[in-house]
Amino acid sequence: MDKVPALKQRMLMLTDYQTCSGCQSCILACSLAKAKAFSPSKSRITLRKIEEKCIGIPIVCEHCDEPPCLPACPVSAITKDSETGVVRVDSEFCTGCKQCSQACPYGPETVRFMDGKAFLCDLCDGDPACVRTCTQKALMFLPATKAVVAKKMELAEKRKEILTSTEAV
Amino acid sequence: MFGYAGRILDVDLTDGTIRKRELPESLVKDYIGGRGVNARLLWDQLGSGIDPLSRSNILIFGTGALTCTTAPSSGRTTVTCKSPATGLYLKSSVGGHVGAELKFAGYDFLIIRGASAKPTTLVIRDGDVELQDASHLWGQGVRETNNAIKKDLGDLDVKVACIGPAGENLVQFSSIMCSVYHAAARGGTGAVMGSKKLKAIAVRGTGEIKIANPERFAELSERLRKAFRDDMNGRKYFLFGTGTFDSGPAYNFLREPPESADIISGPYLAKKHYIRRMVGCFGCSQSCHRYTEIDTGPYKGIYTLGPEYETFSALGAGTGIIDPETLIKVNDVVSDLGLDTISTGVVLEWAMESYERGILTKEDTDGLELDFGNDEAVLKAIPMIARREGNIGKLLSSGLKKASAKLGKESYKWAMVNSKGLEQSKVDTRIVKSYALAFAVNPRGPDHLHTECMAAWGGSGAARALIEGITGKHWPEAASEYPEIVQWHEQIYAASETLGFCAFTCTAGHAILEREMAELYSLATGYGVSAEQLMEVGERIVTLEKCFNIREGADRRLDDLPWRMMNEPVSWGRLKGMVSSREWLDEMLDEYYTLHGWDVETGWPKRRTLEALGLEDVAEELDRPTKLPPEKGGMKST
Repeated sequence: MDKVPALKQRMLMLTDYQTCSGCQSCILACSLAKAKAFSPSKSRITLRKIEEKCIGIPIVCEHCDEPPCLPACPVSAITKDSETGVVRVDSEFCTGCKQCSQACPYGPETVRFMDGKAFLCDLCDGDPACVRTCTQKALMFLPATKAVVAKKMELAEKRKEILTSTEAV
Repeated sequence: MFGYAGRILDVDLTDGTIRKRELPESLVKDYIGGRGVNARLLWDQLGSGIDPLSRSNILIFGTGALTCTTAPSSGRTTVTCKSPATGLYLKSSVGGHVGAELKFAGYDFLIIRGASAKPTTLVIRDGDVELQDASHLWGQGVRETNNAIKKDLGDLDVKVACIGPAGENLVQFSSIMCSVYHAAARGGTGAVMGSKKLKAIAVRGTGEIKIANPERFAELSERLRKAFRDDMNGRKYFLFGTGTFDSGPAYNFLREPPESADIISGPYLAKKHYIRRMVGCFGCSQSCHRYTEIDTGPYKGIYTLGPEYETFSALGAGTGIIDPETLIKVNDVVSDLGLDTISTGVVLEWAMESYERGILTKEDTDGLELDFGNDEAVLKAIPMIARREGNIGKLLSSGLKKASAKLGKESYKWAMVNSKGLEQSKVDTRIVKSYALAFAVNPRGPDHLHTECMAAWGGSGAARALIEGITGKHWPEAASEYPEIVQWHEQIYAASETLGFCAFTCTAGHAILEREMAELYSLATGYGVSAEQLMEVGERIVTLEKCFNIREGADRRLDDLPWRMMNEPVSWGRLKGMVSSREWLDEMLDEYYTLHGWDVETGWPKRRTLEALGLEDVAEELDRPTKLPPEKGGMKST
């Protein structure tokens, strides 16, 4: 398998709930890559499911240009890499106050917690395990061209809509 | 134990006792996982002759040994019990997400025994296991039950296995519905759950599964997922699922399918945009299920998962309803009531032919005009079956073996049920010979899910090469070696189901076979199991399942096909005249039993066969009173 070189240029993760089959393979692949075990609790990516309608909505850090979680963090544990765009949580400083998850425009479950500390997707240094395992191509990892940015915004908007509508369920 | 949660959850509904036991490593070594360990547990814990609907029956949920991993399509769970339809062995493989949740909650196996006095729900949240009152859910459909439980528990992520009204009313072909739409069906699993007054099992697991070699496992599973995905044969299932095939046998196997029947198929659903999205079972790389919805017309707003091939054939071509929208509606109704779509269609087909022949009267049908193609009558009859209402509901809910005996007048001749008592699934076993043999020897009755020999159709180079490899002969002669083909498929089916693989991995695409499976299992557990050892486990499972039936009194006579398949040749088209006569079947059985090391007279495994598989104790038990064939020439093996 061709290994993508370490994250040099800006790459974007796109998630399309409309093609997601809800199989949760992404969660398995993420936890295996990051925690060396299969564990939904340790996965950086999660799914909200509406089983009756067979909808799966992948939820993972969007690494926003201006992440609202960053200023929300009272101890400045969250940083954004200016070169790669990756948003990170420094677990040494994180107090687990969950202000970041409250500030996240994509829903509180975007920020994951383990042992009282926040953790986020780090895009696997440019070769995300979840994307590799997603046979439905509901997860995509693409160079940040204008078109891709537009697509990402469109998909993020759609996701927000469905998430808002499901909260009422 | 790497790869496993390591525990068995054992719940006695009679007194509410909940026990958590360690999963014995010896059980895993001999039987690996889901289907195999279930078979052993059932053999060990059930005495012969118990009433399947009494509290003596047990219901076992067994997760696959590779479930909860990235092994392709490995999220299947096996449900095992004694069947109320046949009084024999019943295993049912189911997809969805319940099994994975159970394993993440910390249990590879769930055994349910006894019976509750009132409706109950088993709630499993990791280590917290409790029984909750389910009186308010009794009588509810599957969808409503799911929604109510999620609301009650305040957890949208809880996964539910439940029964509908059909299971509550002990219908002989009721199913257990997992994750709303995935059925553990055939043979009445739902009735067993209903007899225990267990409405639902709600599971939420937040634990983890550790494996022996994470790096190499990740690498191999990724490569195999890709291979399976790219496989020409398997690829079809991305688009249409099992609906890839045409509608199959029509009108109770009596007449030729109508030309218009091609509109009840996956491709047509796709073309007309009924399919909204593909849906995957847990961890599946294929995602072959299709969520369908209707936008306009009388069934506007109806949605369901499917219909699958068998449903299209049994409830569509079979009953003469050649209309995709009506069948989406029918699929929705049948699933929500918790009925098996195959048997529901097949009993209706039999009723329709009986009605056509004037044997079943309007009094028997409560005034319903059960003509082939009458969709209104079918939609009225289905809830009556699930609730055992009216004459027709009472008659059909008992299954075709009992219904045809009750109606008499030689109606067994068009009852698509064999001596074991299960309605046959929708394959014309007069024509497809490998299936004919496989159906006849299936311990649970005549259907395709004991072993499906798709490769024998020769649909691809890989399929033909596989059959050549099994038989050691060249194509096309190789395709006629039915006993060998069936035995090999039995072994790989059992091996894949015990690991948690969907049967499609090895039979639809031939991308993942015993070698790849053994490698994945070895990397996950560190046990170092070879492909040959894996196939031997498969043979052990198949043999033990057979022995369960023998202990119940079964012998060669039960390995047959429905009367029509053995006696009434196809009367149309270029395959006119084809039939699978008892004589032909007997020839096949002789060869098949011999390959297995089973006695040709009785169909019982020989003592030395059992001993070679490490089943000495099974041989001992079958020997009192003797259920072992006499050894020829006094050769008593040691």
